[in-house]
Amino acid sequence: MKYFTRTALLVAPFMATQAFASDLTIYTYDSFNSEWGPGPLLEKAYEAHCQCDIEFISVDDGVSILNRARIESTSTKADVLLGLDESLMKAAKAEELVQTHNTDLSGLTQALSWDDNTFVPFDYGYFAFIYNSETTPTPVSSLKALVESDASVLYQDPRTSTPGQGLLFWMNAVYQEDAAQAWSQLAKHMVTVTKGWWEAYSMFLEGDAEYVLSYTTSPAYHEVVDGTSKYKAAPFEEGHIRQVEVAAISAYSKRTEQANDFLAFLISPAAQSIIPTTNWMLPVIDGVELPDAFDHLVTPKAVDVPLGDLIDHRSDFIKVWRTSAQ
Amino acid sequence: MYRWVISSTIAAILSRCGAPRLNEAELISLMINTHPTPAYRNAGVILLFVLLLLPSAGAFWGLTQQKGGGLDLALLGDPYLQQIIGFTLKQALLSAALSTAIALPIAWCVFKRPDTRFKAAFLWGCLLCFIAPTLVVVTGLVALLGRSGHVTTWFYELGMDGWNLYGLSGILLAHLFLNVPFAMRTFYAQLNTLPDTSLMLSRQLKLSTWVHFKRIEWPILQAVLGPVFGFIFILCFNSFAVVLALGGGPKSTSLEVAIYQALKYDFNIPEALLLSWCQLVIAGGLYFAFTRKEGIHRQSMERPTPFRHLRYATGPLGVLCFWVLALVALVWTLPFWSLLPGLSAFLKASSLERLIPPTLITLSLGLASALISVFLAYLALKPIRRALLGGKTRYAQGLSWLASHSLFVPAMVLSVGIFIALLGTIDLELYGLVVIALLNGFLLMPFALQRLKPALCLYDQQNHALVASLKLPPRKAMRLEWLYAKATIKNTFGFVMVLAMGDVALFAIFGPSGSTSLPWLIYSLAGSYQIAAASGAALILLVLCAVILGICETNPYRREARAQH
Repeated sequence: MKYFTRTALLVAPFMATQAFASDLTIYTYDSFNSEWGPGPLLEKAYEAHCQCDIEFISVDDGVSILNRARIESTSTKADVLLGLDESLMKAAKAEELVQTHNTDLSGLTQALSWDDNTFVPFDYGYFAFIYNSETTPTPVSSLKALVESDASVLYQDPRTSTPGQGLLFWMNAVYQEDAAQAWSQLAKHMVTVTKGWWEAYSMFLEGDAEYVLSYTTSPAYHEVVDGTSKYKAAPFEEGHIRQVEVAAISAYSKRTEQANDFLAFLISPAAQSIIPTTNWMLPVIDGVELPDAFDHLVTPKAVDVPLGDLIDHRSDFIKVWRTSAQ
Repeated sequence: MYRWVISSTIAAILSRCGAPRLNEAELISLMINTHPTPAYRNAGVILLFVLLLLPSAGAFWGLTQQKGGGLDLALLGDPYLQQIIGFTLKQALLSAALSTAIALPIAWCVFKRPDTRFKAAFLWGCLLCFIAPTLVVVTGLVALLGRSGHVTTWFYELGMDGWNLYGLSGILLAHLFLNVPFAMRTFYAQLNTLPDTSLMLSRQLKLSTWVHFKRIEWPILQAVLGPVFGFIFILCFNSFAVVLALGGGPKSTSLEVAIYQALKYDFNIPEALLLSWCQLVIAGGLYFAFTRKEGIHRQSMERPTPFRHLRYATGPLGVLCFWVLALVALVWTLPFWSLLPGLSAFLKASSLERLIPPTLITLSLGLASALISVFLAYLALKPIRRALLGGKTRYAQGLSWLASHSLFVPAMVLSVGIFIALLGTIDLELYGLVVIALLNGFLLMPFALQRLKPALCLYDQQNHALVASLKLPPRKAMRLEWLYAKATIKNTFGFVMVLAMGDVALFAIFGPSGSTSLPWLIYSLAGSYQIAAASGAALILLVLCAVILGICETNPYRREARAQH
């Protein structure tokens, strides 16, 4: 008996996560479903609304959601894939990992101009360079000005992070044929390129650079949580790269009715009021009540080049970047 | 009970292979005895090594099973690949060379000082540096040596305007911070095996410090130089986030980064497989070359003796050693200071109570992985020790290399490959933690092996002939071995356990949703703007590790220090 108790104590933590069959299984990225993310709140709100049980399964990040769906293929448990972005949509569609939805998208904000019968957007934001207005009182006003300046810059690796990939598209949209030269000019005054978002952002907070690549919504976090408005996003004349985060129904899901209902909930005011202050992105519908900090954010325009054209050349862009950005 | 389970499992496997049935006693002797019948012994060795190679083989198999799996050989001619291999080799070789070169004099200073309490604390702190999470290394170094770091401002005042952390210097500094303490401990342990008779002889011959070092201490140190260098080389070869963060741009790309990119962002399995083979061949080949000259010397075991004072340096040299150590202790604790402000931020963002479930998960994973890896390492050492006793050094080296092969398998390939291989066979949402414990146990086995090997080989050298001539029954022989190696096994267990507790790579893939481990919590905090809170959580993890190391480290010197005071 003594041994049994001991063994039970050792094994108990492993069994603590006993999975029960839920009515809807959603694959998402980890920070979406963390203690601070929108996941737990959305789950509560939706379960109260549908009188059912939903389950979030979180993986590393957006790309991992797609990879997991690819690997699992027909045997996937996922009904909904939540947290892909525009750059992953094409692959998900081409590999037939997603199916069409019947959600009414007419309520979406005009700013998004979204019309897609497979993917439902649930939040969006623009990549932007963040600066400390106390140490940098007059920020640059365009990407070209930043590249030509001697300001210290931190950004993320386009091979390993989403913001880094955003900058890759941004540079190529603005510079097109001259991207290689622009990268090497930027390299002269960049501090470093990090694997993920947090490394660069923490270095920036330590004061290691004047500009860091992040989102236009980042200042809202500092204002709401830290109570400081010194961090600001620099609006660029050429426009910004937009990141739209989307959800879709897995091609192998049989619970499409429930999944469609969840997608509709995702763009309802109830869900949209949760997402901005927990995922720190912009809501996809108008009229959501938000903290004042969101009114202080810059409202950038998107770059002229359609993102779809840029995405197709991603691997060529990366080849140019890795030889010239050093 | 457990013995019955293991022996019946082995019996089942053997009988499938057509071997005659054995009774329990014979099976136990097969597992642990030094003299079982050779045929069964060989079968046991083969079985064990097949088992050890299984996860890596499974991972590669899993990847090739995936749609579009295969090898992309055209990549070999790509100058990009050649450039990253060149850079990876350069930074890993430099890191390993500098780490060993810096660790040697420090270890010597520790050896020469009589301060038992300080030494115990120093050695214990060394392990903490080795297991420090990337977050601590990156934020700590940036806070100190970054563009507006505390130390950098002094540098500027001293006129060193050209200082720049980012680049090769940053990578090397981070690798030195992580690996010097580790190398130092190994060298110190090695010096401790110097027999007092040598010291007495040296004293009688009135050898100068330099001649004493050259003739007596250096040959002993030389025996571990290769393995330590090789081991650090491999760790730096596999280094990823640190290299990217402090490397300052795409010129500092390591092979791991390319594998990560190929597998994760491009989902290009042929490319990922080719890169992994490159890593296996290059890292594995060089590791073999570096550890080839590993020698086991005739030494005495680390144990306080009445003649210990003979080791210590006196006069100015002793004072110098003291100041060197004080300086080293100061420099190596500096990066940890940057964590302190994070503690209050963490308590603001979360509460200690919320830490209980992740802490329990981290501890259970650590405990289970450590048990598995120490057990596997002990089993794998059996044939290696036997080969060494029989003078078959080459064979022993080959087996050691095979047992350590998981060091060169890219972590990402292993976890993704096994994920694919296991898919559909077991429910990973339910058994994810079990898979993590097993895989981590397997991955950390080389670390356990590296630490257990010298102690057990030494035991063989000193006692094997006696044990064999006394014809002790296996159980008694094992008991003797246990008594002899108990302290090392406990130390190793603690070391492997804290290493396992720091895992993020496996948890990222197999961690079931709804459960969080402490390191995972650190990175999810950092990923959601709460970087200060993340350093607070890192501090808590480090304290936990420190406590575990404190429990498991039964240093004979510390025991004696306790008795003295």
